[in-house]
This record gives sequence, C-alpha cells and structure tokens, in this order.
Amino acid sequence: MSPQPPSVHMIEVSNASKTFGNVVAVSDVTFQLNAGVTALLGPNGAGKSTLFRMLCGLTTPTTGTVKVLGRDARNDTPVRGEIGLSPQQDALFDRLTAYEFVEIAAKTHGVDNPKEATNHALELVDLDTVTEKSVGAFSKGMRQRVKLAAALVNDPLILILDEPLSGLDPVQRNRMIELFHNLGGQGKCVLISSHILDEVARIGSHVLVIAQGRLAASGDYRDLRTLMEDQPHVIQVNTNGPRELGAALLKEEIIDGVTIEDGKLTMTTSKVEAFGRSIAPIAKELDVSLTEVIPMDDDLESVFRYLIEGS
Amino acid sequence: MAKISTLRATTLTHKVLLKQLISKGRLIGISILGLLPILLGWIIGRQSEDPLEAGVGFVSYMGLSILIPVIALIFASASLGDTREDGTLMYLWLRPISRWSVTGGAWTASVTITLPLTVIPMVIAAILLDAGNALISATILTSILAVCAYCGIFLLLGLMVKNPVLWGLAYIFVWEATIASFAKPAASLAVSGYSRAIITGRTGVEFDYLFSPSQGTSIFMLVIIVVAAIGLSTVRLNRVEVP
Repeated sequence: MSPQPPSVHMIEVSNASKTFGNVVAVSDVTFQLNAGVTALLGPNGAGKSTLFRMLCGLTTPTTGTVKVLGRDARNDTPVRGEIGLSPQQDALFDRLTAYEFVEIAAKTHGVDNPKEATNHALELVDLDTVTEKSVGAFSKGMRQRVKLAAALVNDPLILILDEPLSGLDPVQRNRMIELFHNLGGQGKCVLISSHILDEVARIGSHVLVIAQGRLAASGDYRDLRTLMEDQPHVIQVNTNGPRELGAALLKEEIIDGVTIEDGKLTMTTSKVEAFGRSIAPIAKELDVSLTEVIPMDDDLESVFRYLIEGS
Repeated sequence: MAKISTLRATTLTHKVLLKQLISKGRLIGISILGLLPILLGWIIGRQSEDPLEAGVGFVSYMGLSILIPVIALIFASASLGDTREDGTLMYLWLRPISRWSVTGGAWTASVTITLPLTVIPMVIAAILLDAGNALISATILTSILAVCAYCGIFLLLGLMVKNPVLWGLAYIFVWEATIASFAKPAASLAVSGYSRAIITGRTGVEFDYLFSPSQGTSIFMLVIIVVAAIGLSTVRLNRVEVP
C-alpha cells in the first residue's frame, strides 16, 4: 500500500455520531491523530468501543465521517490491512492454538513470511513458550496478549487497542506499555483505550477523554490533570463532633462549604493538601475523634464530570 | 504485503471455521442421529415388497427432507452465525480479504462436515434397503446436491436472524417436509422438491403427486440456490454491523 499523502491524518474523525435506537453511543466527536501513542480515557459505557468499531469499519457512523489513512475501512479492503485491532471482548477462536490464531491473522493479511511474523509477534507478547496451547485454555491475561499478537503480526500503521492492559499482571503491563511506546516511536498511530486514570498517565501524554459519548477533553495529560486538580473536592468525615469540626475548618478557610446530615459531615475544599495536613491536629485540639475520612469524588466518574464542566 | 487471492482467503477461512464447527458433542450427537436412517433402512428393506419404491420414498422423506436439512442447519447456520454472536466474526471481517472468501469459506466448511455425516448413513441405508445400484448412486448424487443447497440456505439464515436453528427447524418441518411434499407450486420453491425430482428421475420411480422437473433442471436449480445463497450471504456480510 502506498504511503498516505502528508496532508492526510492517520486517523480523522469528523462530527461522528452513532445512535442505537434512542441510545446515543457517540455524539458529535471530532479529532485527528497522527503518529504516536494516544490514550482514550473514559468510564465503562462512555462510547470508547463504539468509537473504535467505527474506526475499524465494523459499524458505520450514523452521521459524520471516520477515516483511517484517508479511507473508510468499511468499504476499502486494502486499508484494513493497515489496521491492527485488539478488541475488548474476550471472544477468540478457542479451538485454535496460539500459533494458529496468530498465523491465520498473518496469512489473511498477506504477510510475506507468516511463520517468522507469527513467531516474532508471539515473542513480543511473551507467549512464545505456549504456542501449541489452545487459546481456549488460556487465562484472561494470555488471551489479552494473544489478541495483541494477532493485532501486531502484520506490522500495521494503525493500532487500535481496546483496554489491552486489562487482565495483565504488573510486569506484563510494564512490558506492554514499553512496547506501545516503541511502536509509537516507530511512526505508528497507536490508540489505546482505558478507564483507569493512572494507567492512562503511563500510556501516553496525549489523551482523549470521552464521557457519555462526547469528547470531553483532549490534549496533554498534565494539562488535564491540572484542570482536574483545580476542581473543589468533596470529602465526608465521620466524627463525634461534626459541628465543632466543620466550624473550625471553615474558620481556618481550609474548606469552602459544609453540610451536616445524619451526623455526617460533608465538606467541599479546593485545598486538599492543606485539608489533609490540618484535619487531625484540629480534631485533636477540639478533642473530637475522627472515625473515617472518605473522599467522595475520587472516582473516575467525578473526574469526567469535572472535565466536562471544565472544558 | 502480498495481495491475498480469493481462493487462498477462502481456504484460510475454511480452515478456521471448520475447526470451530467440529466439537466432540456435536459429532457424537449427529452420529447417533445418523444411526436412525440406517436402522429404518434395514427394517424397510426387510419388510417391503417393492424395495426400490420404498427406498426412493424413504430417501426422499427421511433423508432429503429431514436428516440432511437438519444436520446442514446445525453446521451451516453456526458457521458464520456463531461467530457473529460470539464476536469472533471481526477476526475475519477486518482482514483485507474479499467478503466472498469469508462466505465461501464458511459454506465449504459446513459442507465439509455435513457431507460425511449425512451421505454415509444415507448410503448405508440405501445398501440395506437392498434395492440395487440405481438407488445407491441416486442417493449419493442427490444427497450431495441437497447438502450443498441446504448449507447455502442456512449459511444465509445464520447471518439474517438471531435464533437460526429455531427458524431453520420451522422452515424444514413446515415448508420442506410438509407443504412442499404435497403442493407442487411450493415444491418448486423448495430444495426437497428438486432433490426428490432427481432421485425419482434416476431410479425411474414415479410418484404422481410429486413436483417433477427434469433432472437437468433440478440440478441447475440446486446450483442456482447455492450461488444465490452465497451471494446474498456476501451482501449481508458486507452490510452487517459486526459486534
């Protein structure tokens, strides 16, 4: 396949939406990607997999356009040879061995030396010692890696990896993240989805954030992190002196607001670090005991809510 | 990277899907089912005064209208239907190969497995009927053609509906085995209508109430059914939303 003209983005999504009946899975998403590693961050059900399926041509956008190397993967057979997809779903041809599964991918991609390419791909994902084992007998982590090997075997320009790190142990995660960075460095466009914030920080500095089908934010991960940290945090404290403690923290201007309900003290603060440093000494000074301090908005949903409101 | 020919891609698809279709449970169950025509053939062969006429009737109704379509349904509807249901279709769909090669590979995989499981018991039954070589050769020819046609139809069905086995059984027992057996116009729209015409034509046995096109027309129509079913399956595969 001839290389794409320089003006064409490797991935170009323009006002793409996808609806299933009344359900809007992806809503008016626009972005362009070129070589390098990009993380697609979003909670479960945010529309990440639907977006990936549209990129691969597995489903058509209801409105808008989705192009890979300037072409529509659904109708353009050659461009599909430049896409490597590792889907989120666990389904594999369970009666094939790992070697057969990857070799079939190599052969159907028309790889020149399928045997060599298969061995290399299995080696990249550390499955070279279990090549004759049936994939149906694989653990979740091994299934994840055999999907990756099949996605890599044709050395594609575009790699679309849907939650590729789920089920992997920490050592394998590090190995795979290193592999993704190497591939990005080789000029490939690597798009990786995840719903785990800390994982995304390690995957790539360029991040797309998707929530409720909408592109909530995109750009450098550090900028997004700052945006998130600028938001006030909600913290719940279980104590035997909620009124005294709340009043003292307000007086010290450590918290911005406070509510007491059923004896539980819920506070908002923009000064999380100062809050963490001060709460125990203040409680001691007031002679009240703290039984529990619970951050109420440290979950990913809250982070996305902040990003949507902040973007 | 080399461009993959349709034939090569069909062979690869065939290999993958054949492995997926063959399971111990399926093979054991269907082999047991295959014993039924053998047993019935033996009984009818012992009791009938005109073994040829009885044999043609037996092969037509038991083999061509029930055993062959049921077994073809199990494998052909699963060949792509199961991959669509379980999500593995994407591993074939996303490759830079023609859609024809995927449907062609699926059809050949289901024919490969259905043929021995149906033709062998039907031929053994024909031998046990003790009606001569004409019945045996006619059974072989019509069984092969019927397997090919039914596999095409059920391949398409597997891509069209959610519960293809239920729909397929309804089609077999209501249309092919019942309506097409007694209504000549319906028989012209049924695989069993043409396959029965071939077996009666080759053995010289006549059933007045049967739809009776010539053997040539019947073979041609069965080939058309195969080509049309694979073609429509290819169109369907091209339009399907892959999970």
